[in-house]
Amino acid sequence: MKCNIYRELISAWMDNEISSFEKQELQEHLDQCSDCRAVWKSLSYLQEQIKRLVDPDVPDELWNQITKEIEFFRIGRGSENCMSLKSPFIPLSKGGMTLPLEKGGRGDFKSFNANSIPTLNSEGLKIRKDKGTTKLPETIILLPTAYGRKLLEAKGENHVKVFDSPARNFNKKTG
Amino acid sequence: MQTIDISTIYACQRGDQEAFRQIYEAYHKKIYRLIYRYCNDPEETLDLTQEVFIRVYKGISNFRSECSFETWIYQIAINTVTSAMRKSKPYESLNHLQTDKSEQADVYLEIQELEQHIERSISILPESLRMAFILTAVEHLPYAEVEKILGISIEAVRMRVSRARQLLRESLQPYINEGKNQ
Repeated sequence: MKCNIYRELISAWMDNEISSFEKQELQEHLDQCSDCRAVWKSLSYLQEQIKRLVDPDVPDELWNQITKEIEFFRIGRGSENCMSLKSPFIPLSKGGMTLPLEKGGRGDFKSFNANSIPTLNSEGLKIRKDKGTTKLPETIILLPTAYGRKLLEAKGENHVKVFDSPARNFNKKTG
Repeated sequence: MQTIDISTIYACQRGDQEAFRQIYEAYHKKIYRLIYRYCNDPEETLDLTQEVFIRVYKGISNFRSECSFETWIYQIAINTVTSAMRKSKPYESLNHLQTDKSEQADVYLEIQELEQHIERSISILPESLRMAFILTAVEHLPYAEVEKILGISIEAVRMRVSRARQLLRESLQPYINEGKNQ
């Protein structure tokens, strides 16, 4: 066997993934090959240092951040008849306008009634879509997705944004 | 480490928050460490670990015991990390460490500094080798489990780990001359 094959065996040996036959062969080779012996020594030293690596401390806020995220997920679980929305932009409909959440402000909305509740599920932000609705909502609450929330947090804003929905275009879009 | 029995997984699948907390307690340190070794960036590690557990929560109803739960959670972690890092990190060469060292050849390296170099070198191993190396040489998982987690043959695991070790040895050669730091 060539030296590069033995070097693979050296590596496997360090992980206790070598057969007794391979081990014997390797030992015989190491007795004869000073280059491979040097490799074995330096890899052994490297492995010792890797074992000594200090485990990183897990930040305390990790669990809180996870629970915050899954709470949004739980709110929207089981929601049917929804229109999927991708963060951080909200598509109004196919070919419709989008509202950049991080900018806030005005936007056009389609097919949402006053009882529409934005929900977050595995596919992202969703708003319940009620077929045939033409009633104009007074307000729509938009929940940013995880990415959207990051953008808002970076700007020091709240997680939940409330936008006045404009009257114009609503009936035209839903018609 | 706490062990997770199948009843806890079933409970979590039914939406039991306490069961999810138990799963988190059992695995979060391992997953955090794995990601930290992969990217060597605490902030990125925090974000990605969070993402992994959210994916676990959302996807646990799809867990069907076709593999061990640990294998499944590692697969989620690896998919999350590799896809995120591909988007964000440009390729870096391992050779920079040799250059750095040659510039300060006479400086004695404390063990802590050596650790930092090792951590950094691991985190910039070629992506195809890095995870196999971390799972085996750092996390001490058996090759047979890494085979399942990464979906590659044991021979491929062995080859990748060996190749990673050779690259690390080359890049860290000035630091791992036996006796220098002992």
